[in-house]
Amino acid sequence: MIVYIIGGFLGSGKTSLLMRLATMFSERKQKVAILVNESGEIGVDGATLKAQGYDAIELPSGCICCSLSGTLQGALVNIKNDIDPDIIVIEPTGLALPHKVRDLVHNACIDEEKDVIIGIADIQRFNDLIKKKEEFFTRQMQGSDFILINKSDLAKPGEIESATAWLNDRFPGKEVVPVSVKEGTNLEKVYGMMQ
Amino acid sequence: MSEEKECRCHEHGHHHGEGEECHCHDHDHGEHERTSIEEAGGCAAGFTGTIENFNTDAEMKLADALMAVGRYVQGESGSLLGHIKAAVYTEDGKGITLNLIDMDNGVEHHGTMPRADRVKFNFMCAVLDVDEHELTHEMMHAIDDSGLDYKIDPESLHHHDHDGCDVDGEGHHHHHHDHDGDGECHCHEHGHHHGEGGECHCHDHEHHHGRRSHDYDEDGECQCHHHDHHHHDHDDGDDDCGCGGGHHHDEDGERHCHGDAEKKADSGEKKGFFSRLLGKGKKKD
Ligand SMILES: Nc1nc2c(ncn2[C@@H]2O[C@H](COP(=O)(O)OP(=O)(O)OP(=O)(O)O)[C@@H](O)[C@H]2O)c(=O)[nH]1
Ligand SMILES: [Mg+2]
Repeated sequence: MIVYIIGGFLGSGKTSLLMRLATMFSERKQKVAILVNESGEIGVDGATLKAQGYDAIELPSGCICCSLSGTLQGALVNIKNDIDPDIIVIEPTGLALPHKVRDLVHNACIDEEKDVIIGIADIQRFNDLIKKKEEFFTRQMQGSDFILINKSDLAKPGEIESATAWLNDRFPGKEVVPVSVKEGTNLEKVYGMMQ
Repeated sequence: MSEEKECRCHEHGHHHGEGEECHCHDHDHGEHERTSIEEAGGCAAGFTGTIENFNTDAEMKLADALMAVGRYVQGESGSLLGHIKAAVYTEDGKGITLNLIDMDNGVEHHGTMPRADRVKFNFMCAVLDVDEHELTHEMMHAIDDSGLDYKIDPESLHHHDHDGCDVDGEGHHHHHHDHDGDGECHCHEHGHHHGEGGECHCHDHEHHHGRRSHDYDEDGECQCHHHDHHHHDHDDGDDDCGCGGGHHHDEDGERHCHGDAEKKADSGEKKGFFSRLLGKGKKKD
């Protein structure tokens, strides 16, 4: 069993990527369990996933990297026992710190083969986010095994290059891949990196 | 309260006057470790409900509500850093999602949905650098102003009822913003009783609600908490309060239950928040 944690700021495209991944895994006949968590009491992603035909477990009313840590671990154990999937994909809130989620997954003792954090950065608001919340954004990306610069379809000339340079400078050695989850650009490469 | 722990209790934007009692401090900060949402300076708000007669027109109205919230967030924090979104779905779970990330791009619509007599909706917003309570107010106002035939599930708002915001039996919202310091509504504490058609003297008292709405049930009790329109008036004299109807909206979209002649005692205070709320003109009674 492999656990994928999709980390990234609000609206960066985590749920969109999650749906792509779930479809890809299902096509490969792998059994997938999806766990979504949203800031606040009310979630939308669970309803969105359901409407799109995906079966997701929602962890509401808190953040799984802090207040709901126990709930996350309990849910993981139940998923392991009841579904025993090949893959678990976790979408934490857009304000969560994915490396904290990974620590919790580790400590849940579900015998996973590996945990992979996929970091997503939204090119459209990259500069804004860095200007206003550089420290938080850095912390959010720091645990990622690789970073996707999403919404490349919306990027203005030069934006991808400068975001890539910023990320390379901040996280030397981490692979940075521009993608468009919406259009499917570069996703084959991502699937390859995930194996 | 330990400032070093950087508790953000003080950033909720509660409105306390002099002699106030803030209960933010009542919880135990000994254990307080900053959550990631606090670390980001973010907040989330949302509620669920139902919409009657959902069609493409209603979908556009809902999109307008998202845009209104987006404008508020942008106005408050300078940019929309966050995600405003809504899912609309039928009993069987089929439905659509509306996302607002960027004001220039506008609302993105995902999925299609045939016309439905009644749908459920989840409306949520997670953004940076705004006040959670104000955000909830704005969301409620946005949906109220959109012209949708909606009802909010009161239980989905249970975190939002302590400072005077409430949803009535109809699922519509109303507010009691107290300026006298303790954040409590004192409408029920006067001990006055009104029969049918009775005159309301609530306005003659010293208490101050940014918005008040008075209604009387058969027992003559003040039903301040049970309806959804807003008053900002404190000196209504003995005019009958026909809260069930007959509201008047002036050019600013402000509501004047008691007629145009009345003064607005509060008009000078709390300008930002209340005037923004009052600036919304649509009546939803
Ligand atoms: N143009 C474009 N839009 C995208 C892309 N990926 C996602 N989006 C859109 O961005 C919006 C937000 O996407 P989500 O997948 O909901 O983002 P999220 O990270 O899950 O959001 P939160 O869960 O609220 O943090 C949606 O309207 C998506 O359709 C992309 O590659 N290009
Ligand atoms: Mg999401």
